[in-house]
Amino acid sequence: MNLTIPDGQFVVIVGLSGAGKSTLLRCINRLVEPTEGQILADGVDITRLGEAELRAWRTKVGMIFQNFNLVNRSTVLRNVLAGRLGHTGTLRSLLGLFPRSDVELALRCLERVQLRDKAFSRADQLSGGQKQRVAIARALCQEPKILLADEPVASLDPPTSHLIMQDLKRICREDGLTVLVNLHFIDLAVEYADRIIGLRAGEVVFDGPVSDVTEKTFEEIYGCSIRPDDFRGRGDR
Amino acid sequence: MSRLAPRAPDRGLFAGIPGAPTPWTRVRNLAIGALLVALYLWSAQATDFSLGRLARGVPEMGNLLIRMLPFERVDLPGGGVAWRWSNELLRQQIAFLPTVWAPLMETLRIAIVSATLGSLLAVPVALLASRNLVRYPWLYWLARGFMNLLRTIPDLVLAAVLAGAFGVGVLPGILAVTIFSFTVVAKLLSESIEAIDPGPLEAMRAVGANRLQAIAFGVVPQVLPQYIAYVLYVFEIDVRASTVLGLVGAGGIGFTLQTSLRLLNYRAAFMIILVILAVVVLIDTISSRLRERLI
Amino acid sequence: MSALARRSGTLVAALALVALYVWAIVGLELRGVNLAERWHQAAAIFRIMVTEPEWTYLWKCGSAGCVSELGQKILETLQMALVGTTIGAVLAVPFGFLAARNVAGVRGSRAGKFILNAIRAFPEVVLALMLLKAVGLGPFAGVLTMGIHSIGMLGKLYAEVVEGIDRDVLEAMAACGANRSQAIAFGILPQVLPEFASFAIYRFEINVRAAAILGMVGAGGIGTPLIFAVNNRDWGRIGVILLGIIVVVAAVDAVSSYLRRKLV
Repeated sequence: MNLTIPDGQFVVIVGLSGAGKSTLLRCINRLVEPTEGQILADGVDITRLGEAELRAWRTKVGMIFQNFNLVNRSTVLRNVLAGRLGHTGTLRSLLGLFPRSDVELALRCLERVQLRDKAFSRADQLSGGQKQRVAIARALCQEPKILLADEPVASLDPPTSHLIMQDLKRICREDGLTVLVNLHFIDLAVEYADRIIGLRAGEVVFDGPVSDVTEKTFEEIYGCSIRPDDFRGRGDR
Repeated sequence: MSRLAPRAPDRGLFAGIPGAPTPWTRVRNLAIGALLVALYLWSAQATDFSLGRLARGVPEMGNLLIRMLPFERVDLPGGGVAWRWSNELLRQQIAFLPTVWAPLMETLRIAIVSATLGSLLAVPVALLASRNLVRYPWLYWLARGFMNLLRTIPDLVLAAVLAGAFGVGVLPGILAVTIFSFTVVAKLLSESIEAIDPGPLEAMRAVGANRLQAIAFGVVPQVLPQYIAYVLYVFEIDVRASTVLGLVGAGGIGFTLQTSLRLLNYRAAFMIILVILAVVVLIDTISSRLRERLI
Repeated sequence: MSALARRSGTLVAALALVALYVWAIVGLELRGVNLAERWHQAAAIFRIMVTEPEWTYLWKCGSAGCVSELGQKILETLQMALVGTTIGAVLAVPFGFLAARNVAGVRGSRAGKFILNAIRAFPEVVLALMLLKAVGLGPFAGVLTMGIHSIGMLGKLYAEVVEGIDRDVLEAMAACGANRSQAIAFGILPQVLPEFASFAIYRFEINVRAAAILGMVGAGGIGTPLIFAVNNRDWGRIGVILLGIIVVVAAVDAVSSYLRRKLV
């Protein structure tokens, strides 16, 4: 496959589970090592980065996960500060001595997801939607250029899903971030994306703006006609 | 979290956030930390803890180990000492094994009898110490208190005191291990009884059964498999406990071990330790297999 | 047929059990023992322990001020347990990780758990006897015994904690650009440390009892005066020492279970 993603675009990748969405996303920050091919960012081939360069690249790429991947027993603030790890010296971070500016940044990130007052709660005391917002704050705290979101709403109920997607879209617009989101719900994709990429068995079967999407497009992506299951349903807002 | 606590001027940073650390949090955490460190240092000093002694002990340990194994001491002409493997000593060590048989069997007998007696005695007390069966709180607390009181006395301390009171021999050993088994089984069993499904018990009461009938039909079937598992488990730890009873004069293989250590017969002591380990591991394995099948 | 087989199986098992008990009881050679006489003797002794306790052992005031010999020895017992537990709790950490299936693989884990079980199978007092020969009489030998022996149980419990670690967090840490030690400090330690600490506190309860025992073979603590008192048939003092042990163990149990409830 061959994809070019311009800065500031909100891209949603849709496809059945197993279509290769997660792998595609994880190749970008090399949580999965691509076996062949090139990934170029500003002309640099990501696949050839050494370990230190890779860590530096990863600080520019925020990621949020289906299962939030927070440290449950740590405080919310500490979870968000983890986003600064790539910018902080090892010894300093092991001692927990983050610069004051980092702590301020972390609190600002929490404020943007309306969770500042939860900064000192333990992560396992939050609801699912709150956890995902903490995860967004953690990614923002990296001050990234790109944001990857792997099924960010698959563990959440429909109304919360919409809230999370709205937050994500608003914040990324404000910061001018390039965003790649994996989703398998059609309605969410159509509602929030600038551009949709359809994957099926590791191949791109659709690539275009939302306005080009028709019912036939989805039949191609899912390999059959659309069933009610493929919609997330509307949230009450 | 303590590390995130700000220095005093940073206070505004966390203004209005519930649970935020204040400068006092940091002071308090530092004080607790310092106190703990002081407690450790004080304790280490009081218990003669020293790495130097540990370092000096290591060659001593090696020395002890070599005297446990069939090595013959050879005095070198220059005044040094060497150790040479000796088949003769090995033969002697193996020939020593049969003398361990009788005390070993005594140990197992103590464990079997004590585990059984203790488990039987545990039943009535466990019933009385179960909140869901006992109508009178004072009775419940009495049974519970009795159980917990006995539980605080370490097994070998009990054995030593009983050996003093009843005279040296297997009798104090059996008594001590019986009491120990009683505390273990009574506690586990009362917890199981408190966790039973109350339905059958209520059904028994509803059909007009008296208390004993209700227990026999409403409780016993629910906890019997667990009870048998506890008996096996306590037998397992009783074997372990019984092997050392002899050190305080309460019978079993521990007495043989102590005798050979006092006679500085380390090679014999080694064989006894091997036998103890083998028996403990064997009983553990058999018992845990049986328990797995039960539950 | 199957009902018959089952019945005969039960019968065989029952007969074997009866035979086992006959073997155990007959072999115990209790026939020569006059139980009634022994009981009278013991009852008289227990009466002395309860009615004539040697309170001066608990608290004695002389020209040089007041001392509590019992208090000093109990304190030493607690200090032994504290240092021994700490050593064991720290040394058990590498064992715990190396015996965990998700760190060491199935084979490594099996080998690690075998070593830990071997340590556990070794009776603590026997270990103390050997260490006493190496480092000499006194509390230091007791501390070492508890330190080594605690590794067996704590290592096994730690390994189970490590096996329950949520590894997805590590992926998130990697995605943030964290290096390995940062990922462990922020992703792994917060997950395992509270439970490690909770198990260590539980082991402290056990070690307080162990420390009381170890003195009886010469490894320091309250056991030493206890065994002397038993040998001297000093029943009043034994009564006071037992009381001291009961009170302290009960107090330690209570504090420990409170702390553990707060931790996890």
